Amino acid sequence: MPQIVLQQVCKTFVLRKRQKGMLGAMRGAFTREKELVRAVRDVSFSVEEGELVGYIGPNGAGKSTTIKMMSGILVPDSGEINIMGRTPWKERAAHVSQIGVVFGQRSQLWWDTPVLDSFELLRDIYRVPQAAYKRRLDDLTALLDAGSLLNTPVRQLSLGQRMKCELIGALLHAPRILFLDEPTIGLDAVTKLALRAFLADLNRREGVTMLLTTHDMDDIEALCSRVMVIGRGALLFDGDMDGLRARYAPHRVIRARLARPCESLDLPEAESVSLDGLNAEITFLPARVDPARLIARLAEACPLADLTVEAPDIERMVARMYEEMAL
Amino acid sequence: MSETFRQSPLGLWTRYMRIHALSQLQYRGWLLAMLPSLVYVVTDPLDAVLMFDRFGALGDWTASRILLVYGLALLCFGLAELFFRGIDYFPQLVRTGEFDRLLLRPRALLFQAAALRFHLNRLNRVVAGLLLALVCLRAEGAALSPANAAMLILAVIGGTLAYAGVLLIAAAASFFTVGDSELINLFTNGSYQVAKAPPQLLPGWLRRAFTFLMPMFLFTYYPAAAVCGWEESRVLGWLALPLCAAFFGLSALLWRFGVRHYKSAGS
Repeated sequence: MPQIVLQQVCKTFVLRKRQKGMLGAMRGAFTREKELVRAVRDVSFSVEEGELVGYIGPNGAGKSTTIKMMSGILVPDSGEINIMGRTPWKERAAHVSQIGVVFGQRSQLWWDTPVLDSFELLRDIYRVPQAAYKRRLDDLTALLDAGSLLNTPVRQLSLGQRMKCELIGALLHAPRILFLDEPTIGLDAVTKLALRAFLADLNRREGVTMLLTTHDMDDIEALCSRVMVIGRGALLFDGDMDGLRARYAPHRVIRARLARPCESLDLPEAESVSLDGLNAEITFLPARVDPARLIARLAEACPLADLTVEAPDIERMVARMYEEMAL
Repeated sequence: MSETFRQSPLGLWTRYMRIHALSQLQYRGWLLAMLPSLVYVVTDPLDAVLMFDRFGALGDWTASRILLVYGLALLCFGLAELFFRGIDYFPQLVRTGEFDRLLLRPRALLFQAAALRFHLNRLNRVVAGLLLALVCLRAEGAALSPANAAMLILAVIGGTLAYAGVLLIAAAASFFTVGDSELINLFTNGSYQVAKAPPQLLPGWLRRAFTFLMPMFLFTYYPAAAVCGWEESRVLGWLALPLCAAFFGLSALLWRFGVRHYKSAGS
């Protein structure tokens, strides 16, 4: 049986609308308009042990709500969630001792005291024996190069340093599943790379299942074998990166620099052709046209100085996908 | 510290308190921060003292009698604030979504919520209430037999639970109405002010309300009356703990009901 199973999970929030201004606020004390927001609708998926899954979607799509339901913070209105044989909100304590959760935007550590104090409190909260704690802490600090941070108060850490400590804190009790909600938000490139390497390594060595939400597609490309896309509460895609490209960005673009000016280019197989002086841009669907034949035809029509074939930029693809969802 | 103690609720509570104390001592002004509440606590009963000083006793009611009841209420409220301070912050916790963090940890929610905050300056009320009660007991010439001492101690435990219960009800309400409710201050800060008025002088309904609804007099006036021999039923003095504990239990149920309605905030 898969480690995580969601079946037709729905969650609706009731928002109370208030009018702006003082008068509106006072009126709001007596009458309120209600608005139903269907944050998650009929989402079903399952995740096997050891999988590394990326969960993407625009702001407000329902990513965090899904993660919160899986962590036992929120109770779905309908549907089933089963994680390691348990329903998260029914057996909260047993469930949360097996998972780790990292919120990129919210700290789990105590602000004013050295990081080590937070870790020792977490050790006792999760009932980790001292010997195991010591070993675990040494391992994790070595891997994240965080040994020098342990005696610094959290408020004095940089965002990147804090994130490393958040990760250590979430892993001290050796959870089998790790939920990461925007773990790389606001981090510099070097720290991002270090975190990705750490997560990939942890997944490989310990088989920890990971589900991460992000807006950084490099996170997904570097880490995730599987990606799920959610938009306006509904699951729109579940598959690998190649599948996502095939579905949302099937086009390839040939950019050619011509050796000499050309009157016109006639390539009926291509989806579109544009010519600007010596630069030609040809869009085609690899599913319909053999790229080699298309390039040969192009070279026949016009001598070429240079040529590249590109897949669309993944960020742009996702942006277009999100725009489509908003319609 | 042994492993088992460390992982026990008491051990964990100690560690929470340690981290709170360390946090507060980080800021050098902590001693200064204790001052305002100390001034407040010391000056608060002055009105009663001055009134009695000027006009003498009100029937049977002397300054020491009134201040004994008041001191007990203050002590109970202080202890509740000391041990359940976090619950006082609950509305804020729910509004900011910080409650998520508690839900993610494998420990009882009520325990975590209570241990979430701790303020050294809350010791002021405890110390002031205790001193006031002891001085007044002496002035009243109370016979502190073992039974009487036990009754007072149980009443104080009951009173602490009663105030904690009120804080819990406020916390439960915050799951439904996002925002602070001033109403609850009526039952916390407001209620021990009531202790400054002799119960006999209150209209019957108000006296009953503060005996049974917000069981104020149950853990202050009646135990004090029993100990000092003020012609009240001793039974009511013993009832403080069981009734207050029941009240606390009901509040905890209400709170649990609130937790089920929790809607997390932000992303």
